[in-house]
Amino acid sequence: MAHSYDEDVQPPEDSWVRLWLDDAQVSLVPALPDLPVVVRPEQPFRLPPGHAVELTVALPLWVQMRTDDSSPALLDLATVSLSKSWFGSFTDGVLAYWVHSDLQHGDAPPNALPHQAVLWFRVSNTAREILEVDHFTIPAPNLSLYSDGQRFWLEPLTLTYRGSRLHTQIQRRKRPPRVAGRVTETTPPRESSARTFVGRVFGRRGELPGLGVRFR
Amino acid sequence: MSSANLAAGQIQAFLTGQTVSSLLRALLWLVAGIPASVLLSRYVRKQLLLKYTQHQALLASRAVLYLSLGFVVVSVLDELGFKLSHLLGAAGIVGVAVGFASQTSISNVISGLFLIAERSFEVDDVVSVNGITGQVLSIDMLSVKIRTFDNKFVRIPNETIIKSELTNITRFPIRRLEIDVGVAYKEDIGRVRDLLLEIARNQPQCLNEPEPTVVLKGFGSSSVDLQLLVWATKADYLRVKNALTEEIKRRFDEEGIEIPFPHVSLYAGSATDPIPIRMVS
Repeated sequence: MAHSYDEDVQPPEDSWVRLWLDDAQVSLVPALPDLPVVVRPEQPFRLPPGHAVELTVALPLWVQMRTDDSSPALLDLATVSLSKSWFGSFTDGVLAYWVHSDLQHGDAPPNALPHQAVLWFRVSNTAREILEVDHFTIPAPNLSLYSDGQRFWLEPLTLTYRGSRLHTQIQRRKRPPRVAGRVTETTPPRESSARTFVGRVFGRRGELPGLGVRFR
Repeated sequence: MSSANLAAGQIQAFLTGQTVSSLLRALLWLVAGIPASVLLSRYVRKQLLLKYTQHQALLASRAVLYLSLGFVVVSVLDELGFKLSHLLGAAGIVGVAVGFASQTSISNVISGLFLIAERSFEVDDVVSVNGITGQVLSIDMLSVKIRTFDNKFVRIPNETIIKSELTNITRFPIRRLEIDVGVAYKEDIGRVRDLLLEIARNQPQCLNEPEPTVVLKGFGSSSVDLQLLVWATKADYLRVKNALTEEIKRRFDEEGIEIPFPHVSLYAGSATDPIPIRMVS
């Protein structure tokens, strides 16, 4: 994904928003995407049974304009325009954003741009089968955003794969990752959820063929 | 005694204090009961809409309306001195007579019950029946009301829907759209396919998964026919279709890819020679 900024290019006329405010101060707050994010690593990977790996991935941020913390956001804008994807089956699933990204090892200093937040996550395979990861989904609206003064961090996650017939266990970890400094919460989650919940996380290549029919 | 006097006497005898009070109570049931039933049904619908779908709220409010109206009718008849047991006995005989007289209506009512039980569609779904496509406004006792996209109100009897093939266009959350593209025989098909996929991937509303696909449909009379298959949410369907069609035309013009229209080659007796032209004067 290549993004460029040209000062001479004016935004389209219909993208302007006029706000009337009563002497209120507005603040710009970073936020996480309003839909789950499907991440497709540059290189798919496999995780044998009983193994675990710690990784980081950078996700693009949203910017919200607020008058105060408790009021709804006056504006909620993506810093980059993301394409969309469907995660689930043809008859049931969720709409998500689609991000092509490079995964890094969890101990390495994360490689993130200023408009991105870093997610540290641990994947453990407790199933008896090999976990093949072509893409995976991050429940971004359920996570908090933190900052260590240098960069933004998402709430760390532990993803426990329990086999293709069972949903993956998603656990939100309280402690920030080792590579982060001292963090403070910048933005609470958009949607509340339990600290541990289950859901579909990992997807395989060709799971939803474009023809709409799967040939076996 | 004249007949007028006789009638007046009979009316006077009928209108005893007890009868008048029964009539008044029956009238009160009617006057208060019908609006109360309607108000109760509306209240139930309003409350259910906060938590349930439009379809569920509509069905529940209709059930409340019919039950409460039934209760009002029974109460009125009771006040007028009709016994429910006698009424039920008479209903058997009357039912046969009414049944013959209103076969179509009863068929529609029963079809309506099947439609509700089968749940092939719900309120707000977009359906297509007998060539009519529109949004379902309500599923009623006798008919289904549909708003077509050019804002016509269409009433389709329940029986007709049960007997016809019905397509629910918005049942599933995502839809595949198909764009037919014909290119000239001289074009490099691989390049065209890559360009079509690139156009689809650059359209933000076009879903990355299920992934866009290009199908080579065949060799047409004047073009190689391809089909671009892309997926979009049902809300974005038309927007994606318009945006992609516009972008394909723009990019093909930019890349010099010819979209042919039907044309005829005149054969002048030789495969390679041009058509001979002779100056007459």
